Amino acid sequence: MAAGDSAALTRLVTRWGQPVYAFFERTRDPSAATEAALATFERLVADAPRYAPDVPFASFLWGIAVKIVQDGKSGDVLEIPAHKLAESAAARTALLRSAIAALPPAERAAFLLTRVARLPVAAAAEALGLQENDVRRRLVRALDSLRTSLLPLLENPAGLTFEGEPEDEPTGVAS
Amino acid sequence: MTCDELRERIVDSASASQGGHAPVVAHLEECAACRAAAREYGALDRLVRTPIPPAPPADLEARLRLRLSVGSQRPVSSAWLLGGAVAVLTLAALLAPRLLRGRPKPEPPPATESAPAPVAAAAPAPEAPPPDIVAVHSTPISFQNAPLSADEKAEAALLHDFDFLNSFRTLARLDAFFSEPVGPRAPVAVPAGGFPSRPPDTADAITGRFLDWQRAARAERVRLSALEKSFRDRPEEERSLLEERWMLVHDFSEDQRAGLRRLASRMDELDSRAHDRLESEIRLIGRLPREQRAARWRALPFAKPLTGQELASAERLLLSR
Repeated sequence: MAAGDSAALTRLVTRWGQPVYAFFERTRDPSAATEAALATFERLVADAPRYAPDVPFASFLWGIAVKIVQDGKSGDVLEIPAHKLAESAAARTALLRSAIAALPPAERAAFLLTRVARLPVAAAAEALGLQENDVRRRLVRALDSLRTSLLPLLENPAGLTFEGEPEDEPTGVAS
Repeated sequence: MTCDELRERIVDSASASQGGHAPVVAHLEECAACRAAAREYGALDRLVRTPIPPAPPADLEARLRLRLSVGSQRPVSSAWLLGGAVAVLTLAALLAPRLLRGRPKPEPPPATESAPAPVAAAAPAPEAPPPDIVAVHSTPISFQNAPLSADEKAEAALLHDFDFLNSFRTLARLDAFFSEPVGPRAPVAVPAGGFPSRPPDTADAITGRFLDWQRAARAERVRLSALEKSFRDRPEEERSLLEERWMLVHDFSEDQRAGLRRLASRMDELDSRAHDRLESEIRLIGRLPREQRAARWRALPFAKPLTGQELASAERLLLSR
């Protein structure tokens, strides 16, 4: 990469494009998530000369992604009427995104790294430059905040699956 | 162990097992607030997962190369420039059909964008083991205050597979996609080992069922029991037929099953004449060679407004027989 190896970029995007995109897609719409993923890879290329091979590449990459996700301002959790949440997967997705995006930056990063990118806490701590205990504390705070902001989904099992079951409710559907 | 310590342990699979599981289990048994927290941490974890990981746009690399080649003020190597030139051509090729159609589209979305998927969890990085949010692996933790009673266990053990119960009505409504309509017919041969939808019959499966039942909210138990009754009220030959159909779809993803449910709902919205006509067309498609079915299905006027999820689910069903 640092030497301008074009094939390396292809390998990089092939291997990491999906997880990096998904990392951002939990907090923003697909278009904005794509922009953030592009910014991550752009910064990765720019920082490639500074990459030290003794650091795991994943930590290096996620460290960059974390900076970008922490740069995003914490917004407000959307207020969506219950009936909308019950009816619409898009509404549930919007609520979920807004709730994660509303977390304070450090908690948001800890949550996304461990729960979306699915890094072990040790690896997340490395990407965040923190002690593992700090990451766990932030993660607990993030989860406790989300318990409140996502209460409408947690109270409704259909919300948890995002695919409601009304069509299959036992209310006399003809065969 | 304090509540804070407990919570910091259960959010991390690596730390949860340090110091043994016993203190975690003991604390959870005594502390209702932490039980609720643990239960909801788990629910949140499920909330951010999706059956189909969100996919970046197909032109991500091309766009990246374009940005690297034209948007940067730093020195650019000839390799990036060459890659950038390729990227420009690739982008042009990708965009040309849209421009020619004169219909600007939003940026290429993830694969499930047409049916706004509750997107979520990225696919785990291959080297990263997916952590369990409540990570006491070897010790079942009860989040309920009371263990199951004998009656509750008996009720749970008699239920068919939960996914099957959630789906059998849909399978009945999608008659046309299967070779035999629901109704009287010759008995269905039960496969060796039984139908996968049948109630659990091994010790492990029964234990798993009890744990599932223990975790299920009261309303969910009532709902599943009602579905079970509704299923058992059907004639024997219908039940066997639906269980046979389940064998074709039980390995469908959650997303694909949701697509089938939506498809069935769309068909239900048709008036009876249009519904019958569509069923005839689908049955004809089902008799075509497999390689022709998808194209013919997509060519149906009914299929035009369907979402990608609905189309793909129907195609898989059509190709499964």
